[in-house]
Amino acid sequence: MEKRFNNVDDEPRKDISPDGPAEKDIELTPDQQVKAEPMEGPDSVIEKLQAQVADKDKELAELKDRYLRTLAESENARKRIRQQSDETIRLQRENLLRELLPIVDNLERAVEAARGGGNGKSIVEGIEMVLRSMLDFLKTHGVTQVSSVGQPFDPQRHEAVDQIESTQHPPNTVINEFHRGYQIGDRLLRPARVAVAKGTQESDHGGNGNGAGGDDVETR
Amino acid sequence: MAKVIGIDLGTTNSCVAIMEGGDPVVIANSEGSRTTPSVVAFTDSSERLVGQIAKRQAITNPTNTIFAIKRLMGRRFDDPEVQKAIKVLPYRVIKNSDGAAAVEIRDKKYSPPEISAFILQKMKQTAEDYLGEKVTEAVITVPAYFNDSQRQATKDAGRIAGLNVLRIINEPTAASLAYGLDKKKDEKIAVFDLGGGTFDISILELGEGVFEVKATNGDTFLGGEDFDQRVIDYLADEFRKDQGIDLRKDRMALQRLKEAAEKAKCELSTVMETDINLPFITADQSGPKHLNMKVTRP
Repeated sequence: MEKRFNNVDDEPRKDISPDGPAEKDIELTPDQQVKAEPMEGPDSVIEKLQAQVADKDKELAELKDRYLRTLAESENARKRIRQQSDETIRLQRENLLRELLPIVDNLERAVEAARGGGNGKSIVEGIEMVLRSMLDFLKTHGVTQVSSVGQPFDPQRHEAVDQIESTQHPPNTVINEFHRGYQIGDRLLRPARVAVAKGTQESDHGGNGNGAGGDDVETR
Repeated sequence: MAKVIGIDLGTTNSCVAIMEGGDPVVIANSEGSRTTPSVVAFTDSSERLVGQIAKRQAITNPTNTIFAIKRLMGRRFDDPEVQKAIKVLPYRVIKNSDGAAAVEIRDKKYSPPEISAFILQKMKQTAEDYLGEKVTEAVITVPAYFNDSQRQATKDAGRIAGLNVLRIINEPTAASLAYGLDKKKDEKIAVFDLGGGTFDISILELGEGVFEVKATNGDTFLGGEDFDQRVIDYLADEFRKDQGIDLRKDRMALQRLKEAAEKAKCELSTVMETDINLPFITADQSGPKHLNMKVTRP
């Protein structure tokens, strides 16, 4: 026999969690199914339905409550993770800075020794040692130097600030380094600042003489 | 749901951890360190310091800075271990009315459990700060050779610190559990524990999920600090041969040597050789002097 109460399903769905019971069909258990029997008057049918609605309302309220709690828990977890992540960043930063302090100490000692006058050779040795310890520190943190002089100019690793005519060097080769480039792992930390060779007028092929990298090109 | 904390109450350093989602997590203290020196100090102004801060003022306050209290825990004053320790401890060790070893600081007597309780309190606080809730229950580890009196003293220390000590576990057993050895077949396990101040070896037998201590031995006066001292002596002797100056006589140079020696020792666990780089370590009439040496693993 047909279900006469399917239109309960058609009621507008409120904000129930997508995983909630709204997906399920509202099934009528055998004793809820209303048969067209003479014994059951319309009042008892209504009572039964009202009881069902009350049950559903209760279930709905419980699920809603659980959903809100889950939301709150997940928000708290997110906050905790963010806090821990901030904390980790702070700690790493402090550890790094702390490692630099002995290098500052040694430079102060170098200054003091230099002010005291005397053995310049020894002072230079000392400063070289400080430089080495600084480079070791960088190496420990995955920072290495980028080679440039003699290499073909590569804007991925080099920044050109000057172009110099040269017959001795192939065009587009780095001939001078103003400051060193550094890499951290495979990523560029800082490009090397370089001067690049350009061919002389005679060897300049192509174009109108204002070839690639002519005077009006800005290298910054 | 209150968490149970696990505490390693060590001779030189202590550590606290909790279980988080089935994994053990070591908790860093307020100074950001995962271990806390087992040091308690009482200052002129009757302030009590615990941990790294107590260690930092140790040289200025040697008779009132207590370290290695674990050597006195649960022991009688006449115990040969106590008598041996007294030779190297700058603070006053006395005999309590019941014959137990105790310390006397600024005319006040403290039992070793009372001193250890100050350390345990700091570990408890560390955990509470991390968890954001009170902690009342703990598990504390002790050496496998600790007798009843020493174990009871450790439990007392926990109680004084406000902790309900659920279990006292043997350190080598805890180590075996941490490595999951209880999940493997029944077998004999040797655990070497080389700490800051003591070296212990324990033979455990695992049978039907139960660890039994079969034998213990070791050297209670051998630890990482002794290795550091050997490296320091090597560096200082070489420098003296080369430059004619004994760096050990200069407090500041000695401190730098100490730090460099400990760092080199740790690095040599993973590399075959390391550089000791100490510019401007000292000076004489001819100018500043530097120490630059390689230390290798044989």
